[in-house]
Amino acid sequence: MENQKRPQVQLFQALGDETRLKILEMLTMGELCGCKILEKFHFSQPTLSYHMKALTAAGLVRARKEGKRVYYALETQTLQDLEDYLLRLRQALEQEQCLLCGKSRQDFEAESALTTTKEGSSMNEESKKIKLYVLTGFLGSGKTSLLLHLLDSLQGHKIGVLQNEFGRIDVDSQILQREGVLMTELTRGSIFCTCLQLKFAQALAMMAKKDIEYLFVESSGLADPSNIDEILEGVKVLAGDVYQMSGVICLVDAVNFLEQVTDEITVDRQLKHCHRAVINKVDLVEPETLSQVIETVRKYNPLCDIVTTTYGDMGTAFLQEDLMTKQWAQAEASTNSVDTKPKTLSLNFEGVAPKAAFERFLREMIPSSYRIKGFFQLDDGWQQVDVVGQVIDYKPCEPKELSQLVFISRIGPQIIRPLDKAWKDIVALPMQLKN
Amino acid sequence: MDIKIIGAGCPNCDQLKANTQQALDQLGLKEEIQRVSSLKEILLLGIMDAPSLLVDGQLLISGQVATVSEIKAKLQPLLK
Repeated sequence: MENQKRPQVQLFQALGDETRLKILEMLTMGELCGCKILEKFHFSQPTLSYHMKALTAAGLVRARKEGKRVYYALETQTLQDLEDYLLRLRQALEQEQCLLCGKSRQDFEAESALTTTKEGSSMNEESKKIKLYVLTGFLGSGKTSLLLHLLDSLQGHKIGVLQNEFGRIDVDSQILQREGVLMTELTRGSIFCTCLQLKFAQALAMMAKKDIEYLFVESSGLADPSNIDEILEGVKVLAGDVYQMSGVICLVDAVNFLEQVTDEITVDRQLKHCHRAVINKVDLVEPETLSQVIETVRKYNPLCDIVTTTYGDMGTAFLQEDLMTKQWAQAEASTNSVDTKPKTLSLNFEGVAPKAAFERFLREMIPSSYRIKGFFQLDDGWQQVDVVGQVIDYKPCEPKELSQLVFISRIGPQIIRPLDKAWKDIVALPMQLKN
Repeated sequence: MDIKIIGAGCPNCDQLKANTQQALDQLGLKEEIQRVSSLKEILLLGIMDAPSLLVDGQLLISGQVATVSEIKAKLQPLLK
């Protein structure tokens, strides 16, 4: 529409000149020879032809050749068109109607009220807001590795990490200590559990005061993201509208998922609420198992993105995507209450434990634990210990003040008995159990 | 008296409410206890911890399950 000049544009361009306006005014007495017009001005014949060409091209003047002379006259029809156009402008003005799109003032105001709110928050401010991502996933699905990969690939960006850990010792935050990364940790329970919402909202408000671009909230295994909306409302009270909820990413452990999904409603709640499901550890399963996992994820969430990965490395391309369009389930009351909060217990130990006995002890504890993790001084040095499903992982780590293991109980508070017994029977060294 | 229990419905908050009720009974007060459980409302009241007890805008108990006698001790000065 903009490429083609409207006739009015050419008209007004032709009129927008002192000389040409004077020529028009002269021609109102009727047809005139070019030579007569030239007599009135102090310029040459070619200049006159230049102006006359502009007037004839716009259709304001028609030319008639008679021998060597050219006679010019006003084109009445074009003047009429011009008049009509000015009339339409005036009429539209009287009716308060947009001449360009035909919209009435009323409609326009109703619409622009809508778009201003949208633009106010989405166009200008949303870009300045901190992008908030929530990472969920069953215990041991690899959220910490995923975060580590993200932090590595986002070097140079200012990033905040808000961690939630079931145990009192902050195993994950020790792993996640990186330069330039802001860490805050909430211990003891799920951040979506009602009694911790206040602390969570305050932590988010505190994080918002720092100059960060992205905030990743790692919500521990059994957390349920459905109350995030309410928490963000709370944050608005404390710190203003500073966060842009950018997606819930649910990590799925390809190895253990099919087993976990049968007895854990939280897994399906997490899947239901996520915008992207990342199926991790796909290198450890057969293709049939993987397709079964994908099928099961789809059953719970028909809309979310599904990507597969190994070692929790899912890249950073998702930061450019709008994951929020993949919203499947509506926010609903969280299933996490104090009653369903898993019981955690930590074991503190001073000294060096023999690795063989230590591992037998861990094996003994696997049936009653969702997850065991921590740092321990074994006879082959300090190790970061991670137990997921039947797999026990060791990684050498920096020496700590104290060896500590956190147990997330599958059997509630009773875990203290088998734990105490297994340690005494197998490792038989002094240790302390703490809630 | 405007008595508010601040807490989003966990057992701790229930306990503080029960203790407050008992304290009111023992003091012979027939005041209603209101419950504030919405996160936004709690934060709008400027309260950062739960469970808490707010009486006539005064924060008497913050972030703990106070005993009946503790609550009574805090309420008594307000009765004069």
